Amino acid sequence: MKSSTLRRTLATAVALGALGTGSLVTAAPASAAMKDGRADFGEFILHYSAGLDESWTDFAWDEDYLFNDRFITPGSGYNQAVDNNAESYLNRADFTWYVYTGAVHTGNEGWLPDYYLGDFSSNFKNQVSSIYNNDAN
Amino acid sequence: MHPRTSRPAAALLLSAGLLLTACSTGEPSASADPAPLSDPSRVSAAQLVYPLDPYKATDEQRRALEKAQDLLAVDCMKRLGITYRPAARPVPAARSTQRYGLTDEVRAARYGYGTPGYVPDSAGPRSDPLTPAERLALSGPPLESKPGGGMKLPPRTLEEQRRTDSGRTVNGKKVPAGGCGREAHLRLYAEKKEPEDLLYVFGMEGEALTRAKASPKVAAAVKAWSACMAEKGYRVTDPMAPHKELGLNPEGEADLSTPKAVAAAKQDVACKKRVRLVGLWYEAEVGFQRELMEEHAETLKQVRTEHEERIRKAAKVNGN
Repeated sequence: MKSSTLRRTLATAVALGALGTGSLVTAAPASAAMKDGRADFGEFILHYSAGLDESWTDFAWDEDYLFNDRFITPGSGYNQAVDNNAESYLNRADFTWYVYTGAVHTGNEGWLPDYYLGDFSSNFKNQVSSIYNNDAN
Repeated sequence: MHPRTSRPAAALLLSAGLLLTACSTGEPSASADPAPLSDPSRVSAAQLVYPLDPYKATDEQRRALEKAQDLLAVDCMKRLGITYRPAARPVPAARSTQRYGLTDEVRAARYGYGTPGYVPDSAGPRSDPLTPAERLALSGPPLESKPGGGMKLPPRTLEEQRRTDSGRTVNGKKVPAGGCGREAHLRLYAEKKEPEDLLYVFGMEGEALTRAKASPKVAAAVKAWSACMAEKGYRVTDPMAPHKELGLNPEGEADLSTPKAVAAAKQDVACKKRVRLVGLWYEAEVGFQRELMEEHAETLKQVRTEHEERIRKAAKVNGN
């Protein structure tokens, strides 16, 4: 089970500087086609900390393996793996996103309605290892 | 949903204590009713019934909620002078039947590790069928970053949204903070107060699934499965998603249905059957779900109450 207290003491914030309105440009991994630090429409955003706080990354498409992905915006958690490591999320789409505790849509399934944001419960291990959307594309 | 900035120490200690109790044997406690709800030797993994199932939305309920939210968004957009037609929502491909990984021998033989009916996402940036003004009206302005990280939260309730000025207008009308999409969501889910987190039951299920996997009988069965796979030369340790270990690319759907993938998938299913992995895992998981349900009974009651209220609201919006 994650410890928020531990996170608060982590000195992993990178001072790249936010550009004010969510137009963050960060050094995203080469394979991160849409993981650009902009919370665009249609995207699913996973945050390192509760309350949409600290570092986050944005997903436009299905992801089979979140362990390949990193939190990419400034803040605690920057450059840590996203897999089983997010505390809050935002569905900034007009369609449902699905989350799974296992990679490649295995394990148990949860779903998030359009425009929903929330914090994973602190009572349970936060396990999201793959995500899928249900859009018309 | 409860905003939090840190975990209360008492909750941590309580969790640690309970974890120690469950971990002392690694099996669900004797006080949990041991009788499972299904017989895994008679039904497929997709048909297994779990104690937490009544606390989850059915597919039909989810579609009703989606439809209601669409109608509420249309209503809000109309108020802004925009005729909005939500895109039809496709029926999701059968994804959720792989709780324990691949277990269906017919599917394995036909599709390997592929997903029947799966349509891969397009490559490249997502296209937007709306004009900039329509998009602003629906999704609201971009979310603002906070210095040092994170985002400024949009309104969490309808009441809060009504008190918040987005500072933007479309057709001379004020855009709701977070857009009409957010308004529609709040009208259905959070008029006056935030609900319990919509992924609460998902989290509890995941906890039970993980504890069950780590329990001695299931852990031994996973080892036995791995040994069975090795008989055919497959070096794998993860019965849920062995794709990478098998050298398959799950992001290339075609790769998952090659003869190589099909052969591995068939052995995977056969080995799970041989060691009775699904049955053992299911039995342990049911026990842990019951324990967790007892421990969090009050919250679950609240989850169910809110869900039922939401379904009634959706039925009203949908004109049922």
